[in-house]
Amino acid sequence: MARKLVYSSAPSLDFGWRGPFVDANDKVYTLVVNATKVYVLKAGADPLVNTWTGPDSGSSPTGTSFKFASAIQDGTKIHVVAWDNSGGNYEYSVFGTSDDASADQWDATIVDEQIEAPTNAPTSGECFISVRSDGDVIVLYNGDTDKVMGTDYDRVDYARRESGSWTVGINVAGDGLEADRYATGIGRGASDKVWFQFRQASGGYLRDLSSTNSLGSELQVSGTGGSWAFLLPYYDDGGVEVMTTARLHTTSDVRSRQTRDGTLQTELALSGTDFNLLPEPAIAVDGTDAYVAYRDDTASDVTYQKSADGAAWGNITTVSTATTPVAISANVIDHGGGKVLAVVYLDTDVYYDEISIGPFSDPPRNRPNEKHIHLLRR
Amino acid sequence: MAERCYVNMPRKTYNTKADFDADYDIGAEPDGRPGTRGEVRLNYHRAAMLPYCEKRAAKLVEIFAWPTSTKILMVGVGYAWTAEILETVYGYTNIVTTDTSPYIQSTQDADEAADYDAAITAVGLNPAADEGAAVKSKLVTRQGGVGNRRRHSREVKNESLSNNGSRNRIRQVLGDIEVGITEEVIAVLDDSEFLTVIDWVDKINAGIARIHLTTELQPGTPQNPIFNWKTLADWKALAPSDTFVSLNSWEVL
Repeated sequence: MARKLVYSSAPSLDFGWRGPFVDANDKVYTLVVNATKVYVLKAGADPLVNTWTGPDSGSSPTGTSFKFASAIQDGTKIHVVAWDNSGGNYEYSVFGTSDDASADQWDATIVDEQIEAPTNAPTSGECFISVRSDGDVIVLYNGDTDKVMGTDYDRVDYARRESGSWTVGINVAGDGLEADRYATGIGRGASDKVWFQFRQASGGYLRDLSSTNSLGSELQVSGTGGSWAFLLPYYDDGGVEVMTTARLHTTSDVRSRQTRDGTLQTELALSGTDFNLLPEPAIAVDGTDAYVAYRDDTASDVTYQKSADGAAWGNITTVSTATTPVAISANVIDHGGGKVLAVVYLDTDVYYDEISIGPFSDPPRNRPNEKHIHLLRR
Repeated sequence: MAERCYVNMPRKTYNTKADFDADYDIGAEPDGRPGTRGEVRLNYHRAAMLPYCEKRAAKLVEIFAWPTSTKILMVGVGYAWTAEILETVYGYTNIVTTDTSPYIQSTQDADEAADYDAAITAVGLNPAADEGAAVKSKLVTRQGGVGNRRRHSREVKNESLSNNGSRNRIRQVLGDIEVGITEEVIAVLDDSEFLTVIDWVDKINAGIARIHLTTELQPGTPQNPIFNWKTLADWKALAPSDTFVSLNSWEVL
């Protein structure tokens, strides 16, 4: 049963990963953005039935022309990066969930904090965020452009917030004259390593950033074209760091690819040949199981498949037939009576759905894609 | 890189610093900077362009694998940084380089220190002290030398190849040239000018292998509209006997 969320105006179509998230009080949250506001929306006791509200929206990030935003949950905070196309400014904001001391409030000082306003604005403003165990924030984004021989080339840069100060414009992809370059996703791996995902004319790439901020080599994960899930989820497989990408290649071809301790594995095709090209697929993990949610092409339904620890993708299962989604975000959360695959998707409205996928995690968790473990109230 | 007055009316000339600045604007702090200030940016400077030229040289060697004794003419080379890498890193000692830009010819023996200072000052730093001095030190390191150095490390001849005298002076350097490379030249020429130029290169030594390094047409990417942007396939159709190398994808056609 899909739930249409309360929302004041049409959301921006360009958006990154937005959970959904759950806090220690079993409250579900997600992120929505329109041209002038970034909202964290919060569900009632049952997110499929009860009204969603926008707590503390009077203090929410404001802009002139927001075009992209992403979020990540870390403990009791939801960290948000947004790109305001007017002026090309990347901004950082923090929201405290109901189990935070602030109790459903935007941070008193960290709202609309400027990360960088590139001198020469990028073609588009894809931006993604991760938080390390020590609270340092890492943002991957389309940075300044470089002009060589009368041709503008987009860069992919990252920024790092340490002790409240930003270091910005650190080049991740830009050595060379490749067109069609932009950031496509981020994920935190083992030992506070952060993985960057980006594409350029020659294909899709991964590059890791160590806990001591040393950039690794570029790993080419795919050929040209396609669109990627915005999140690289991490799981630990017996001490091996496993990061998983998902890439929509054509209407008949979606593939996942893993790195295991930084070594690329063989691409794995999802089942079937019925994929729509518009929304990026969304990927989430539960233990060593991975889920990819996407829009099928024939019925335009929200659909998912599952792979167990890199094995073949399984049955095709419908999540929702409520609308024709143009963007999808998914996460596995412990919520309500057990563990659910929670999905936010949108057309000109925002919808939420969840699919029960088993009993509570053991140990239970409420911090997707993070190694922090927090006990849920039962 | 730089373009050059081979013909009377190229679509764009690079006669002045302003000509170069308009088409080259490159971030010079790839390792990042404090979020409290803007990025130091350079134009057609050694500290900004050397990484690109290192890649060009590496790709040329990878693609063509010429013997190091090969006699190579490179035209439109700017300050000849790609040729410099071919020589110093890969051992190609028989290279002659040309560029007729008055700006290149008049500044090739000068250093870039004043331009670094101006770029650092533009973001509110003092190039002689504290953070500004540290940024300048990194630029000096990136240009590949300690202290201020000349922009070029090898002579860039002021030869257009447009007449027998000019071509003879090139021949006198190395004798029978085997490979002729244009570096970011052809997009500033009209089709007819391009055909004229490759004829001049051919007259250096009939049957010379003609290779053109060029930025391609990039649909959806802002490109200076005055240039003659084409795909490799379109260039190849214009000159089927020549070899074209994309500086964007390294495709060879």
